[in-house]
Amino acid sequence: MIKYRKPDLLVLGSGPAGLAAAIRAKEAGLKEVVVIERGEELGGILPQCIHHGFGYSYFNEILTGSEYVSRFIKKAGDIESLTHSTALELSSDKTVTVASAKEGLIQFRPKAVILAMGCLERPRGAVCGTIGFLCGMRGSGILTAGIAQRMVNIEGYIPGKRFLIVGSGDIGMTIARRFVLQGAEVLGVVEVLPFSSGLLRNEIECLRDFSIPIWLSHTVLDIHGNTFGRCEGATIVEVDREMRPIPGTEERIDCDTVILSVGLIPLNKLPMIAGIELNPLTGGPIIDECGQTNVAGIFAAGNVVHIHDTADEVSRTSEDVAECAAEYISGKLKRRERIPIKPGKNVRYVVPNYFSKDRPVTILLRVSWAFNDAVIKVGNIFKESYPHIRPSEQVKITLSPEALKKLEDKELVISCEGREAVPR
Amino acid sequence: MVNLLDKVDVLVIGGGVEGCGVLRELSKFNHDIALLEKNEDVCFEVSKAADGLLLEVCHEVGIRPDYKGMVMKTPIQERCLNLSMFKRKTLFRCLGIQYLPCGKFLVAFSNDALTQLKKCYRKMQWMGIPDLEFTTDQKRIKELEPNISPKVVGGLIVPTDEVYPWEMVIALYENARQNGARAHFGAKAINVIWQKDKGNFLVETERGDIEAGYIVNAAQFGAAEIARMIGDDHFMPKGTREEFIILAEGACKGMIKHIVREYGADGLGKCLIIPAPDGELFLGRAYEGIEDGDVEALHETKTTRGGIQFVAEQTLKIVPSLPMSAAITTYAGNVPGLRVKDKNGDWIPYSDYLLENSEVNPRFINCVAPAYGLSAAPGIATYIVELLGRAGFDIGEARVKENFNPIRPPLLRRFSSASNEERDGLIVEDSLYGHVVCECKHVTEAEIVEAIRRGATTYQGIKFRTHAGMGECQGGFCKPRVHAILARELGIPQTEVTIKGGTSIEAMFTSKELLKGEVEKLEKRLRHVEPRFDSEELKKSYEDLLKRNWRKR
Repeated sequence: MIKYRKPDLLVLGSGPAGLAAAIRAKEAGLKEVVVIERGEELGGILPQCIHHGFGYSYFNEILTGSEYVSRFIKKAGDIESLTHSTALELSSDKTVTVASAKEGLIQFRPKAVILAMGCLERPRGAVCGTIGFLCGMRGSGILTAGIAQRMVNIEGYIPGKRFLIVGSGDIGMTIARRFVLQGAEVLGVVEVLPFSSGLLRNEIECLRDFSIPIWLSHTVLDIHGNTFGRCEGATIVEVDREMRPIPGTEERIDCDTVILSVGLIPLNKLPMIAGIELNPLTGGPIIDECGQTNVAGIFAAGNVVHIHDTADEVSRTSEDVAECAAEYISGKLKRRERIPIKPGKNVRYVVPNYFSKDRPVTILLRVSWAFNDAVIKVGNIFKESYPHIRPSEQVKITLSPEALKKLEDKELVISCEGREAVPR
Repeated sequence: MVNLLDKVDVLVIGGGVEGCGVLRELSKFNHDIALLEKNEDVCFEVSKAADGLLLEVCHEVGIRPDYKGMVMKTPIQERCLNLSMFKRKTLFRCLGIQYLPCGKFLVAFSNDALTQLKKCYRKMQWMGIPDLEFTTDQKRIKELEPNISPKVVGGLIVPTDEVYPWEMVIALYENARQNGARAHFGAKAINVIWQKDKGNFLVETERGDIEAGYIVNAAQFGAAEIARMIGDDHFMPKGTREEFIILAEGACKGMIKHIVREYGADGLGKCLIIPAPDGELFLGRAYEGIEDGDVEALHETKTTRGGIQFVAEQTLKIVPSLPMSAAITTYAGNVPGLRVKDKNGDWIPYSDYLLENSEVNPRFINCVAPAYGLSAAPGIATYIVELLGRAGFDIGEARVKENFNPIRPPLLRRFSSASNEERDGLIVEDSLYGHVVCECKHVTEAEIVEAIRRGATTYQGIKFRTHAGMGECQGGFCKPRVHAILARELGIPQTEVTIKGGTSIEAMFTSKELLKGEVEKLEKRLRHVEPRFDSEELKKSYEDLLKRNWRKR
């Protein structure tokens, strides 16, 4: 028999977003909060992140990912959670169909839903557009960084001995260090942009400190393999400013494994089914400052909206969203005026997409290029200067209702002025 | 004879669509039959990478099942295709194969092409093909394909079916296995000897010897090499590499309704867009001829930058709004072709199927079907049994054995296509149905375990049987989990689980194994703990970031 349940709040995902949201919702007075997790244990991706770099801002301590999330798991002790459970469908009337190994099929009709499923790794085929497709042999020895991380840290296997990392995403850089610590050799990191696409902290702590070279403005032209389907090497090439390979700069790298760390994309399959409006710039749902999507009662928090820099930031924003969801359930959250926030010059995207003037708003944005001596302008109401800024370092601006009241235009445009750190 | 692996009446060499078709046909009779395949599973080479188009009406080869008086260039091909068309619907129902009757839309971009397309339309009309629609009306074109380029001046709708090629091969194999056929994988034929005294063949393979009364040589690219082992050298393979791009289901579901293909002034265009039953779009295809005699290249399935870019450009010409950023993967496959020796000993291209009792020994049957193999496979199988009969093979008086079971329970999408009530029932029956392993395609652990029971031994075997890992994340979540399930079910360590057999191992070492003897080296490397900076500017910005992002360090 299909079970029907009507909890107050259903949280999809139990990573740094889902757990933080569930805990805060419970604190805000909601009685029945249920957390759904597809994996075998709570924590989402964090149990496999055994490197440090978590908790700096949230706990004021240096923690590993697994330590960080275990604190949340402890705190969430009495909150009902279903592991090995997958949300199959989400409809615009907030009905969520969940397949659970223990309970069978459950249909939830909660008063509110928080989407906190996180993101997926850009697969090999998605390395495209101006960069060109990542071509070459197909078979074993070509993995995304997250898969490799799970293999090494959870399963206890290592995919090779000599690695080439494609893309300087954060997971790629941390897994490079992990491989070195594990006794393998990392030949280098290939990045198509003229600057790293991960956090500067990771570039220094994972690559420089371990003498791993990073080849900027380079891309992989071809991956070689043997007839038995195992990777045996790759050809890398320098690219010009338009990201076209420069002939004559090809170099063969004798690696046995290629690791891809070419970016993350919000998991948007469920929002798409539910008819939630998506932001083409981020891939995640369009949200207002409360985290609410265009479907009333469906909220989104964490990397499912856009990719955050740190888990701490994810937990913080998710808590705010949980408070709003609790307000929504108690009927206090009214639909108010929605003023759009738009990315202006040199800004790739801005989250949230709408705000109202009566509550503080935290704006997260990414610039579209690396700049020195940059100034971020928020309409006519706020500006802040940065000596160095680049797409991988998120900019966070919190505006109070008083500051927002100064806004005269019908929309808030955020732009960035600065000296290009590397010519574009 | 050191190691006799098996003794059979008929040995089928090659586990592609033809080989598996023949195997399934032979499993109807009371005989010992077996399949010999050099890879770890069926459908691992040519069939795997086929575009999956089934031809309802073979206007491309100029034939039509019930058309009277049409002159055929390729009699065997025609015969097999005809037979297949009559058998197909029943076969699909028995084997539980899904197909998408989506129809084909041929589009013209210029007036010259339109004239040619009209000629093609007339020819098809004359051939008696039903439900054709020729249109030059922009409104109608938009109605048929809303996203098509406005530069299209006219189009022709041709009814066509489409299947996933690998599902057909797997279904044929599984049904043959249900009915007693054996299979030897990972065993490449090294030598074939005719044993006069015993009146049978001795096939030496990598894993042992097999004695066989008859041999069906359906090894496609390897067929010529195997035929040469008995002294038959009148044909050789030819190949063309094709490259494809797959676009994610989410970004393009329903974008294209038909198989869309350009029709140029000089006939059918190279590139086409195929909507898959799952919702993905397959964009194909860039051709690249493979040089004669380059045997290695025939098994190479690398994608090339140039080829993939060509596909992207050409298909964008047909549908400008194709979301290339939603590409999830690219792949390449080799399309087989044939060359035969003429009387003067020159190699000439051969367009018909090579289905024949070998001139050297009639009990050795060559079964090479380069084009439209998928469409013709059921017919080919029947024809091969006939050829076996000509060589003296006795199918027995009862013809089809009593306990022959033509029904193969489908596995693909068992959970994802079920209703919610059925899903609940499945979970209650087996809690493994509650473990959704592949979230993109909603494939459960129960289906993966079932696929292993049905013969999957590799990651790709699971992928093709269940579609786990074929979604948007390409195995980002499920790949390590499928590896763990494979290791558990097969009773092997993960370091022996392969992607597609051979040395395609993903988990090369256990973490501890690699660490041995590396500790000292490691200590040396770890001496640098203070961040080093190339420039003052970088140091400054790093410190600035530290201040901004973390309160304490």
